[in-house]
Amino acid sequence: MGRYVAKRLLHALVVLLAVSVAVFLVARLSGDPSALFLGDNSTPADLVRVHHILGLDRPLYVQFWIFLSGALRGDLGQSIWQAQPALQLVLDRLPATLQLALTAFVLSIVVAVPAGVFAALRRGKAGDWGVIAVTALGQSIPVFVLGVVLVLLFAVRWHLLPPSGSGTWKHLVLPAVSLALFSSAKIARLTRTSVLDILGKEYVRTAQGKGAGQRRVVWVHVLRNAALPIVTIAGLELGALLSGVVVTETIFGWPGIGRLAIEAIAHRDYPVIQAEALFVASMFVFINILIDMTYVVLNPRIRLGGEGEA
Amino acid sequence: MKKFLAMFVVGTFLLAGCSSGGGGSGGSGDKGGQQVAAAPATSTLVIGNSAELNGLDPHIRLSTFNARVSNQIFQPLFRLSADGKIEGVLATAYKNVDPTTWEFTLREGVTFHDAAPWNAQAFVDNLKRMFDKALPSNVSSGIPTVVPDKTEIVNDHTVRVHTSTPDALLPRRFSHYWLSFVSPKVIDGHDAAYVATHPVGTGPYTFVDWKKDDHLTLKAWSGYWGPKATIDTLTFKPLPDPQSRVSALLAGQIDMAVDVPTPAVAQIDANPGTKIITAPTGTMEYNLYVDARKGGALANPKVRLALNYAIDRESIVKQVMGGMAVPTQSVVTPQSFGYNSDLQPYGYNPDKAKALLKEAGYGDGFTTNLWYVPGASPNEQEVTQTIQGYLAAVGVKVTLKPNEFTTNLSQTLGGKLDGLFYAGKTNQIMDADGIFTDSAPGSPWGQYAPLAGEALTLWKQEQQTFDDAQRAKLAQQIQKLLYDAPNWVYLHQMKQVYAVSSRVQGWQPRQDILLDFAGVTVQSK
Repeated sequence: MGRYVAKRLLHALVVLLAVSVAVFLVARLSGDPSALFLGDNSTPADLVRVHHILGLDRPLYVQFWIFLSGALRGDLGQSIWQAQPALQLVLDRLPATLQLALTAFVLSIVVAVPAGVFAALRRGKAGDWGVIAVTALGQSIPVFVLGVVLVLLFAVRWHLLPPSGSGTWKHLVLPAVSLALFSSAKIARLTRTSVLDILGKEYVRTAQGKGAGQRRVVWVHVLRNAALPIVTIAGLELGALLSGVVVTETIFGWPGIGRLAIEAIAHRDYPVIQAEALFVASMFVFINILIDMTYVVLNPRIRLGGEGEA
Repeated sequence: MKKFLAMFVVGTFLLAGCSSGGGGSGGSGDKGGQQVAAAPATSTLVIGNSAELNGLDPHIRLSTFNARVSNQIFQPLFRLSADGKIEGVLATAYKNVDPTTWEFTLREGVTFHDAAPWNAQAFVDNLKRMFDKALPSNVSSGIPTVVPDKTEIVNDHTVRVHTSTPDALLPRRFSHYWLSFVSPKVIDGHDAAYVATHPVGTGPYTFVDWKKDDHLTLKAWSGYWGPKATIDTLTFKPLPDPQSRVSALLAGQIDMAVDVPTPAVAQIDANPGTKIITAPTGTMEYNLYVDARKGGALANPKVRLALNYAIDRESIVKQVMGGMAVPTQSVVTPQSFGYNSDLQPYGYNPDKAKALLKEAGYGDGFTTNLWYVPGASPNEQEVTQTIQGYLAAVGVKVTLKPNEFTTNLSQTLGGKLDGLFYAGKTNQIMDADGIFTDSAPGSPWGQYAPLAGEALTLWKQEQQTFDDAQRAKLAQQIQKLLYDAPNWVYLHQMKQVYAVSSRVQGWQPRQDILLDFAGVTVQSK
């Protein structure tokens, strides 16, 4: 196990190095921040001067080395616009994003898993079709449409919830529901398929034949065995939620890392773009390692690669 | 699995607890739409701003959305009145001592929010910082003729500013919000990061807190030198999504939304508790800039005149801009000093355009590029596509060239664009001279089709004319010359569009796009 973890961590480092190179180069494709500092009243000489102040006149490999060596020390540079450490800006906004993403994640699981099981147990019946229809809708409506519709109904028309902002649980409801819908639809469909697959297995039929109750069959025999793919997709969805809050945070004025990303890109704030991308990539890698660990816990038959067994 | 879920549930509630506990700055200000609505009236005005601020240091270039906040805290020497006249703010008088020396009398009895006195030394300290080449800024471009090292302190409230060349516009230049004054206690011995987070000025409001991407709160300052603010607290909420600003207003979460998208105007006007307020943007208009450097069709004044007749501005404004713009026939906005109101609209006359093209030797038309930046201004793509259609109708084949914003700006300043480009050029001091200066030979914007001949001669004369009436007359003459032989294809001036709750009383937009809440009240619900 220890060797496996070490190997995965090494892989993670390689991935993060590749991400560092990619994000460093892509950030510089977003445009030149100097022009934004100066506006339309500037001269080419102003541009040269501000380039120098921001260190953008150095060769790319020098700029990359400064970024990489800083990153290894935990220093992802200063925000060009906000004159604060870039990593600090990300960390300041992280709690808001985690709060939103985790609420949406829990909401997804709580709704999707029972819905998927329910549909599977009523295969071909009205309940099944109902779940299929709702999940198809959930996966089809873009969050920017759903978000606006929810705001118009619950905030503008009925005045039940605030349309944007943060601070109370009421602010959390609309963005969390908007964000959760796509994930829960995906997880529900996968749960349904997975449960249907397990329901057809011999050991389940044996358990049913031995007179085990429906509840016991589902909880003990079906769900435990159907859990692997569900945990996989749920883990990936968590990563997707964390990195995919950009639109939701913008629509609902939620002060998280998604909005920070939009602002950083709009202002060509390279250090913040780099810090955020690297941070989100690190989270993704970490979640993936966690998922792999969870496999082993859920199904001891799975053996770890590198230990001589398939 | 249960542990896995439990971990997330517990984590979520812990985070929710941390957040809603409001530790520190996040707890004040907005408490959600319902509670704001129930708060005592007349004490708070909540404004939905179009973006999060990228700073609060007036000497690091601030965009409009920053200036809406910063001009509540910081003040310049002067400001422009509704009719474009110079009004004293931190200065009470100005006089021209000799052609290259201006004397400013600073307002007495003014202190900064941190009790530092506003005086000649504070002026000098700030002027020095405005010219600090170590700052990633060019606010000094607002006062390009000033020689900061020669500034003289005559007495505690009088300074003399020397310019490298005669500069009739200097008092007006000092009305730019970039040239606002920061407490010497903040700027002396501190770096830009400190200044950006310690906004201390002389304005009617003091800084309270700023939770980024959530809200920024200002409070009326009891020690303000001018009329006391009628609203106790101003809260700015950054809502970059236009529909979110509209929804927040309709839901009663905010009292005012800036930069309202045209499609939402009818909905807001129809809503009983809200209204739309518009005003022309006096500081900018959008035109097609022309590259006449390489000879060819665009170097011919008749061709440029033909293009002005070939475009139906009224239709563009009505159909494409939804009425939220005003057609123009001069590069100077009607709100600017020196505007020539005698100039009549060209009108849409494709036959005349064709005839002029033929006279110029381009009866079969020609091909050119049209550069634009999608999304940089309202309906930019649609406007340029429509222009492409109008020009095609008179035989001018235009290839649309979309460009990235900062790349486009760098290329514009570096003289890299060609053909035509759609652009709005800021003229914050609303003076005809501002736009002529930008059109001077060799200047970044003027390099494409610079002032020449009589227009150039008159402009040089205008710059050194200290009599306002005479200067205005010269500016009008230049515009007439540029009407008959245009250097631009004139298009339109955008309108500022605000959505305001009916509870807000007495607020009017300013032509220089800054927000002013003096005398404004908010009625209770």
